[in-house]
Amino acid sequence: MRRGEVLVAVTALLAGVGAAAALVRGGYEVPIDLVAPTLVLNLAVGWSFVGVGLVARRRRPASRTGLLMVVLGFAWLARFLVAVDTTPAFVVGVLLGSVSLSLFVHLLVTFPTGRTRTPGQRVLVLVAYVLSAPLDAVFLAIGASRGRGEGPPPNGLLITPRNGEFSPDPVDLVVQAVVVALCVSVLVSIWWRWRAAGVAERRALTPGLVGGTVVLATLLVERTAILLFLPPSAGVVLAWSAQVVLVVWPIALLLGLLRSRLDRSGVGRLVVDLGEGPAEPGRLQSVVARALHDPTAQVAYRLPATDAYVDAAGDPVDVSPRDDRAVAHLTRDGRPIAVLLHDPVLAGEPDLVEAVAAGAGLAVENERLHAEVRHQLREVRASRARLVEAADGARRRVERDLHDGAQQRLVAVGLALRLARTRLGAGSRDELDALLAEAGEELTGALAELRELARGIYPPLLTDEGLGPALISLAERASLPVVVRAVPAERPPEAVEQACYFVVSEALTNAAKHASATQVGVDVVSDGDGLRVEVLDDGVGGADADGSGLRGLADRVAAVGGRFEVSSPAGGGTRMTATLPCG
Amino acid sequence: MILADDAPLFRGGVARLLADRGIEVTAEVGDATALLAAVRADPPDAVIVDIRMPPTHTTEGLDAARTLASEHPAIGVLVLSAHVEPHYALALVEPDAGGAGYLLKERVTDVEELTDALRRVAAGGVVVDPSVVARLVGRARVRNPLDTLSDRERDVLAVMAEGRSNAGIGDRLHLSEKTVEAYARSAFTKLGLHAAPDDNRRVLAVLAYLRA
Repeated sequence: MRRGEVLVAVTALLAGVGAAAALVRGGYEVPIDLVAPTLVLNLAVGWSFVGVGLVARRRRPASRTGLLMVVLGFAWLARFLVAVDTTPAFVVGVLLGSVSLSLFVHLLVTFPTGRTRTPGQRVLVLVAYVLSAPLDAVFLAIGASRGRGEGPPPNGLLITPRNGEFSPDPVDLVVQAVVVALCVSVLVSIWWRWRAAGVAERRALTPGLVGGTVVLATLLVERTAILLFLPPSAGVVLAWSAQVVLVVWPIALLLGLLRSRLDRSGVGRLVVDLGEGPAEPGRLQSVVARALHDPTAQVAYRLPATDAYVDAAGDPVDVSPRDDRAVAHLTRDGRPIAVLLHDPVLAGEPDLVEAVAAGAGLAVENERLHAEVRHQLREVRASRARLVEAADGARRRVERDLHDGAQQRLVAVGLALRLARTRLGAGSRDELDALLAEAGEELTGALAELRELARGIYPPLLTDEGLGPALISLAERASLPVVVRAVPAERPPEAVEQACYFVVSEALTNAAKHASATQVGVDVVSDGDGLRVEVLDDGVGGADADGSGLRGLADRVAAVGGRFEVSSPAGGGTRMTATLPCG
Repeated sequence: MILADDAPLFRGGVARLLADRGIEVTAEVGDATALLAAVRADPPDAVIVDIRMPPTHTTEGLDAARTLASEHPAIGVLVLSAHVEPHYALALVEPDAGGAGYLLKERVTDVEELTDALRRVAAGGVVVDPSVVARLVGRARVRNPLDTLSDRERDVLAVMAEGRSNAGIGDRLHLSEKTVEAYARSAFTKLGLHAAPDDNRRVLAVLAYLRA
């Protein structure tokens, strides 16, 4: 124990002893048969709150619940000052008399964080505090000296029912009505919270809320009894039973706060569960969700060399933290391998999440590899479909170009020749001359179109002379200035050479069409046992990496086992990089 | 001269066109090996060779042209190609080699142009297809030095790059030889090129400049 905690504990012990002395020897006249139970119950409640509060504070320093419990314990014991037969002690005792119940409302409404989160909660807590010391001060000021020397010490929110004759005045009734309204509102508030909570949060809330509800309900019945002019004896019984519940309530709160301690035992079960049963995708996730008691828990696996995460089936998962979900990173040998997405309430229990993560350990790595394979398979399937689509598209374009271009021109040639022939007999020499000249021009055009078409389908220079001359040729026919800065002299495998050529070709088309660039640089460098191709323009950026052209390029690169990246910040030019392995 | 192309119909057509112009085709062959054999058997003044021939249909014609240039520098070689690729054209014309030319295949339909090119390579000159030159001249550049030239100077430079002498340029652009000389000199000065000792070197210098 730390020194501060020792000090608080000793003070609480002394306060208890003082309260006992005040009760037994003070100005209160407690019926002799009630002294022992009153003493035992009150000390038990006070010490229980202080002691358990200290534990809670140490285990969950982030939560204010522990602090509130300690303060409540002291406030509870401080009520007995009223029994000390001096005026200052009496005044302080009256003022602190019902603060413990305000604290009780505060604890219940804000459990487990100890902090108010909604305006409604703030109003409830504020009303609870106004009803205690401030209102007591008012009553004290207008000369209410009741309660002194009669019966057990005050234990209600405001007014202690007196033994014997009971005749409440209108002010009492109004105050009691407000108290009842407060109790009902608190009950409604915690019911709403419990309903809105997820499964994981409910497990943390339930013990504390159930205990608090019992205390509050008892209090409510007791107060309603006063309002309904029921005999005070019934109220006394209820007040005593509320105290009995209050003795154990701190334990319930602590259980809620420290749920993970208990759940740790479930982690062993997790390891066993993972060991047996069929290895199917998503199994790890369901076992982890069970161990965390959070059905929304999700495991996402990191794809190596990227920051992308996928689920067990290989589908991409967004792992950025959100309001309704916290993210825990799982690492292996210092490398991030997966993330655990869980209910934010579990963030208050890092040791549970860590224990589950450690328990899942090898299984995570194993399932990550599976997820990676599934993801790759999915990518391959998608890219295969796109390649087929692209090939079909290319064939359609070739067909259209042949049809609309060269074929049309050749038809025109045929027509002109036919006309010339019919004119052979009748027409003039000039007419013939013009027709034949027209046929010649159409032929020239058809030939030029066929030449470009053929080159577009496949550049012969690439196979004949390699990447350098082919890229320079691309640069020479580009519609914007292109500088080919470096190309390695030795020739890579044909597939790599072609992928590289098409990356540059498509990137140049892109830069000319969409980027509004004024200059493009092309670099091809040896990179380990592969090639790295980089095309950088000075255009407007904002290229869509998922657009059909760039997607096709990515597929083309992926087909030779390479990696394709586009960096295209708006206004910052576009840089396309393809890394192509030659091995 | 000797004609090498793997399409007999094409060979026959070209041979007839040339015969009409008084150029005698001494042999027609279908591939590079046969071409080299025919040249050794009966060396001609010039050779027309298709760039794509069996067995691989890639650049056999180009390779044969290089072999001929080293073995028989006196023979002019005109390569017919389907590709507008400056790379091929420049691979063909080398300093101190014999006459060499790179023409698009479709130029054979213009018999004037074909016989002119043939005569020029036979005479040891250089011929570069206008489309190839146009690609080099028209290329997008960041800072284009050709912009400093007047239209006439650029025209002269382009026709020069096709391999013509000042007289040839004059014929083509309907200018006197002296005017051509003046334009050529001012263009060279603006581009920082040095006058070359002979026409072929001058062509190479201009092509190299345009390619850079």
